[in-house]
Amino acid sequence: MNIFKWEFKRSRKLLLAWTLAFVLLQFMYSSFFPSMASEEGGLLLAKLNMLPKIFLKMFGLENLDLTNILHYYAMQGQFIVILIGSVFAAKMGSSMIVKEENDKTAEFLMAKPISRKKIITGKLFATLVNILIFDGIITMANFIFFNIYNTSDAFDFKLFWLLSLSPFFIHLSVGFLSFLVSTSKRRLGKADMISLGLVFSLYTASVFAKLTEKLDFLRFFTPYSYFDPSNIVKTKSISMIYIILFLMELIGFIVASYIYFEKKDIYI
Amino acid sequence: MKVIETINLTKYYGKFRGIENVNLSVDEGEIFGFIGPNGAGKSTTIRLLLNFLYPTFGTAEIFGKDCFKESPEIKKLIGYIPGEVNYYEDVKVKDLLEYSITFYEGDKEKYRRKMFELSKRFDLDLNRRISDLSLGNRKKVAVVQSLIHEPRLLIYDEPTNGLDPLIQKELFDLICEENKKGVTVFFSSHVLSEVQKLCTKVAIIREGKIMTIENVEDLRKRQYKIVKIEGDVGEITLSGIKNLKTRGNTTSFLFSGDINELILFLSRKKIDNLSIEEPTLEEIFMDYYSKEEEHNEHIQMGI
Repeated sequence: MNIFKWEFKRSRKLLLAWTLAFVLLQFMYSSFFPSMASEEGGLLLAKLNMLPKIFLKMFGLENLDLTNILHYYAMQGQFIVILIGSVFAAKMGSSMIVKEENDKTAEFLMAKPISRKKIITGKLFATLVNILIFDGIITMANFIFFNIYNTSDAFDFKLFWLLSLSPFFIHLSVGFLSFLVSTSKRRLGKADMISLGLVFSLYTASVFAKLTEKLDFLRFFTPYSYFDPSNIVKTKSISMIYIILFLMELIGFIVASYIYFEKKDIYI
Repeated sequence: MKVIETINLTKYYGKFRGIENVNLSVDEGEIFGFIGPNGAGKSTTIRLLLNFLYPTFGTAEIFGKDCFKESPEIKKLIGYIPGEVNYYEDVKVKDLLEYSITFYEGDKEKYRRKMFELSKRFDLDLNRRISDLSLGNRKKVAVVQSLIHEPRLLIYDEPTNGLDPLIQKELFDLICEENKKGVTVFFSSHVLSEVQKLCTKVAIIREGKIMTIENVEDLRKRQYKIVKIEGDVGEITLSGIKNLKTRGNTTSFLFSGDINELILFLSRKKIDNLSIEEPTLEEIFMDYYSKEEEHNEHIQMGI
């Protein structure tokens, strides 16, 4: 518990800065919505629909009625909240363990009467809570902004929750994967680089899975496909198989982190 | 009771040697010196004892507990100062020390009192940020941190590095005080004079191997004396003489023969001045090295 508190306290500035930036971004994007839903916006949308289908797929614009604020969010949110937010989650996770070795503070921590398991538990918990707060506050902010700027009376709560859960789940996947990277590396820069590389590879994989029939199988390997917003808008659900895959991967990352760290030699 | 006991403790970093077959045995209440040049494997040994590392093979026990299976239990009783002190840079000294306290069971208020008391003794400002501290001040934080929870074993890896002589003396006094209370001290250093001052027993490590473990007293007794004579002594016909040097009126040599013969010999001479000195541990140490090297050369030459 003391490790969790310590980590949480030390990461709160980063958390605060990122969360605030995202709340402002969401405010900005939401305030654009009324003009999107207006007549001029309608013209733009008509033009947009004339674009090649593959182009729409690539940017996740198919199935979307951009005069609906939630569809509008599904469009912009997947880049901003999901993808850029993944950078936050990856940075958070990837630094958690390796920074102790990188900054040589491991020599302090590891000399304390605490098992390696408990170190992992405390730090995993800190990663989880940071991501939870990050996505939680963005969701609350979205809820407020969407209600202010929504031009129609209809608001699909179920869709809102699904679209809010999808970034959270993706950030958890990415965060815990990066955490695993963090337990296996000795230098912070390297762990950071690998984690960000994984984020963009997984994202790219999800785009390829959408674009080409042949690569369709990729969707089982990346959380960006599991919780793809344009897909959620279309089906108004998240497929059970994806949830199971997501949970299995999450557990896999956690268990591997414990096992790896338990036997690791800590060099200072 | 054995406080530290290692049997054939060996660590390779890939192909590189860390330490090989280190056998150490430290009794309760000892101040045990661990001496060797930089890179000899002192820190590797300590990091194995603290389970930062796992051994390639061999075993290590502290207070009868397995260092690689029961490490958290062992660490309750250990105070550790690393060779290079690195702490969380962006926090205050007080925050760091209070974080340290949270890891230990027991009376936290007592630990806090000890924190204030020790900081005062070492003139350490608790409200400064770690990043603003000099090397010496960081070392002080390490000293305070290692003693707050009243450990039974102190593992100090070159603790005097970067401390000014006054603080060094304060630290040595403190180590002696703790030792009088029954605390065992494992003290690594490459500065021999400080080991000579403090320790009862010393292990010499070189290139990953323990060369000898001896009582500091025995080590000195068994060895030669440094003899300096002023005056005309003529030719010296004694056995056990090395490094004979004559400069003007002064003759000096290392003597490892019978001291009575030396005195008998000198009684027949008219001399102006005489000094017979114990060699410092440093000199003994250098002697050890050169012997080893000679030995190796002989092996290489096939003798």
